[in-house]
Amino acid sequence: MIYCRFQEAPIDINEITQKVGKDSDGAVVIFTGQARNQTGEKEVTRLEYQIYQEMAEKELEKILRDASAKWNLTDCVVIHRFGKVLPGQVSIIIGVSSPHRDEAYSSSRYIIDTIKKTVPVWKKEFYRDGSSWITKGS
Amino acid sequence: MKITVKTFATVTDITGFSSSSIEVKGEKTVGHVLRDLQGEYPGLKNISDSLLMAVNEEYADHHHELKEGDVLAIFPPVSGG
Repeated sequence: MIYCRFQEAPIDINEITQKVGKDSDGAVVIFTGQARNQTGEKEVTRLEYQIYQEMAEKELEKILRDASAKWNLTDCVVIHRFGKVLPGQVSIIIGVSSPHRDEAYSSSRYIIDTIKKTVPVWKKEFYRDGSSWITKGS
Repeated sequence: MKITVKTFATVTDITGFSSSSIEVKGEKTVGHVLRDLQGEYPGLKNISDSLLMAVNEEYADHHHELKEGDVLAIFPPVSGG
């Protein structure tokens, strides 16, 4: 099963654990990315994610289809936030399942790395004294 | 020929618009439209090497030929996750 969506509301991690994994799977890998409270010396007070929604959904689906086919995954689920995300909050969650762990670990890494290269989403960091767009994968 | 140009993140900051209908005259390629926009918004020149483009929600290069009604998106490297 492939499933993905973008949402403004906080992510409920339990939703992923319920969606991912069948009895035939020996491995479920769940990755969560969260907003850091610091960049270099600067304290980050919040992030704002901007999204090109129509294209982002297409690009994300492509990545999941590719990963699912390449590693023969049972389930492959991604939920990505947009809008305001506070430090410590989950900004993305990726859940994959497969009969064996190698496929689950490798595909999870591929999915997050490829999202950071191709899915049109941009984050802006806000500090106590200003803000800046982050335009390189981090 | 009319197309819609959408911008995101730093490109919106530079151009001041997030979506705009523009008239394309002469060469109808993505690269040509981009050069025109750089003429109008010189700030784009500083980031021109890193800019990404998409036509109708698919990544496109400078040589991509535009058609009436296309949506051209211009944006900096992505930073999701």
